[in-house]
Amino acid sequence: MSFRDNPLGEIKVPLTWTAGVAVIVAIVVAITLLATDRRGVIQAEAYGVTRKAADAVATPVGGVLSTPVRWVGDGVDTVRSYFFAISENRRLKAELEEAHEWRDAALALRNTNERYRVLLGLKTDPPIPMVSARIVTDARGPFANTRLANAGSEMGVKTGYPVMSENGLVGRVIGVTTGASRVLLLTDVASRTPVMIDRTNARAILTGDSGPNPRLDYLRGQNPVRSGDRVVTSGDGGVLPRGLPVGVAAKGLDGRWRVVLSSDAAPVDFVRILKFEDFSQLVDLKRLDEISVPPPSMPVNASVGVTAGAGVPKPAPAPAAGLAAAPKPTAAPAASASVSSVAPKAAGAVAQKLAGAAPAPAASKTAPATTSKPPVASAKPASPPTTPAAPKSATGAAAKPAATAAKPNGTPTTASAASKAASKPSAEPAKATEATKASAAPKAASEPATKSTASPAKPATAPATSKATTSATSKPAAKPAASSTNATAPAAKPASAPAAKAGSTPPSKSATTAAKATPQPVPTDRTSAPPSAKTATPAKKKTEEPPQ
Amino acid sequence: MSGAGGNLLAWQWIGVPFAACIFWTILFAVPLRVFGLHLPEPVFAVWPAFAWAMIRPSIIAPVAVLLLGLFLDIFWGGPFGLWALSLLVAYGVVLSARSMMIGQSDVALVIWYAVVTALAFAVGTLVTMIKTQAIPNLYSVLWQFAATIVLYPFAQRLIERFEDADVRFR
Repeated sequence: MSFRDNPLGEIKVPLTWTAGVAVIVAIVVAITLLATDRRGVIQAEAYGVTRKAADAVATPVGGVLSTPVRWVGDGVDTVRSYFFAISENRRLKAELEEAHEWRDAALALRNTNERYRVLLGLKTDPPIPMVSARIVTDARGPFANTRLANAGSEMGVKTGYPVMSENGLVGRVIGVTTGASRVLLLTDVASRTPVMIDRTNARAILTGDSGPNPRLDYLRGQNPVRSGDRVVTSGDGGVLPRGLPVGVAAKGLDGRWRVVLSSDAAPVDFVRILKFEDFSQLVDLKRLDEISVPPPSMPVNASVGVTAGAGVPKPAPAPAAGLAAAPKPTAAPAASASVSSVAPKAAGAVAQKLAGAAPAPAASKTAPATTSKPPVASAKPASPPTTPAAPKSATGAAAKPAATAAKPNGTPTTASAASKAASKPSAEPAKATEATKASAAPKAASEPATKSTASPAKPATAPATSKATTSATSKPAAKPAASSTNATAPAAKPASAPAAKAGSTPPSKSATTAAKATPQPVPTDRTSAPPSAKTATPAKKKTEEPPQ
Repeated sequence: MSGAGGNLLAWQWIGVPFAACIFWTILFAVPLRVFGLHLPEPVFAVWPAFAWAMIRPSIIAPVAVLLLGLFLDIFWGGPFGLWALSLLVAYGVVLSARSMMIGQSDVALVIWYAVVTALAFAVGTLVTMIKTQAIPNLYSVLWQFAATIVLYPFAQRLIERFEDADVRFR
């Protein structure tokens, strides 16, 4: 059948209509792609294979094209430095002179800061490893502000990592492939960055709008920001580390607060990709949800777990002196301390985790060895004086460390303990002050031995002390300790008792948590003679040693 | 199909502008600052989209526009489909108003080109607002719009080169 014989052969669809249909189909495809796009999401899988492949191709191409540009730039810099060497030399000398003053100030501040950190048991973030990369392409449009860096998954780069230039924060990685990373700039309209004003600690969200100066949204408080205030990352949400320089606050023409980005001070050709892990990616959120709520008998623990480490081991209950359930401080302290130092970011999340798993989440350096078990025991003695719990079982043992904690630091955890502790020191002020100097553990150790039944007392005291502190504090500790035992001090967490690292941490670290609860004075000289949990010496020994 | 017009070969009036757009887009994405200022970043894909619809209706052309838009989205790291949709809307408007535009003076075509470009940017702005719940900086939008308007001579050259190639659509 020839074409002309075809009954439909005479029907001609106008090409314009066909083209129109093609346009509509193409538009539908575009809308579908747009609706399924998940750009800006932190999940790595949201980036898509297509984008990864395109980035992998675009990176070397962009690198080749940007090379001559870089050469020209370097040449211009060379010529400029040749002609302006003298003026630059003068300027640099002036800067150096000023820098010397800053260096001296910085050294002094560093020294002070270190002391404060020790005193407060403060955990600082560990150094963040980083990868250097070169920017090969740059998108500057109103709907997309991204850059392509030539370091990818082979360098360990992951989605969500923050990116900095030598001057400040640039953005964060939203896509990674082999040899390339896509960086979403702070100025992108999809960018939201939690920041804070350095001067006032006022929080805000840095919202990109594709302009050169992103907005400060959700500012709270009265006059939280002034022109010229330094803006840094707040670390809220765990996506970015705290304290990365972002820029300087300035009032925009539209009357809104904006930020002049530090990274705009110079061309962003080389960047550093910080390998900062979002703590929310480190923990199994589902598992956290499954864990049951900690028993109500340990409210202190919840407050303590500020710097909890991820893997704080459970102290194994060791039968102490005939007590079957007496909690024995084991090697926990050292472990907990090391863990906490590794993962300070995860504090919040891990604290929750620990709250369920181990009652004593405090994994700060000073965290006591007897983390998990004691609270259970402490709950008993905490319950009214109706039961002379001490001698019976773990109660007695637990009561001691708890008491010790309350004493030296002056921080009874439970209300009853607090009131009693408060009354006691007043009776013996001198000793109380001495007690503050000494480590908590030793004192408590000695007292239960004296007052309560002998058998529980020993194991209880044992965990706490290093020899040095023992000798210093054993005697004065005896009195208040006794009082605390009577006062159902056990509620006070054993947190204060042993220091994780002998000598490195002051006994007062527990005080950081406990101090909040009590009006008692916090020992001023915390750096002296920290107790070590490792050396579990019986109470007897401690009491034998001469007081200082 | 596009080559049905005898001298009008698809690779000539669609393929070459397509490749040229990609090349110039990549070139202008080089991170270069002159006197502290970035290079402008025009949307090179607008002028072929305008010219293709003016030259003649085609089935290949909208597909090429779609691919160009997707390339821009991927290369610039923007929302996937944003520029594809914006350019296709512009292309569709020109295609539907083609009978009015043909034979107009250069000034009139420049105005039409500006209107169509503004429409593409308006669609982009609207989509961005919907997707990000934020309004893009209008200065940035206007800046890129102005940089794109400047590209009209490329569109004019393409139209003049091929508008007489297929007399059926004169």
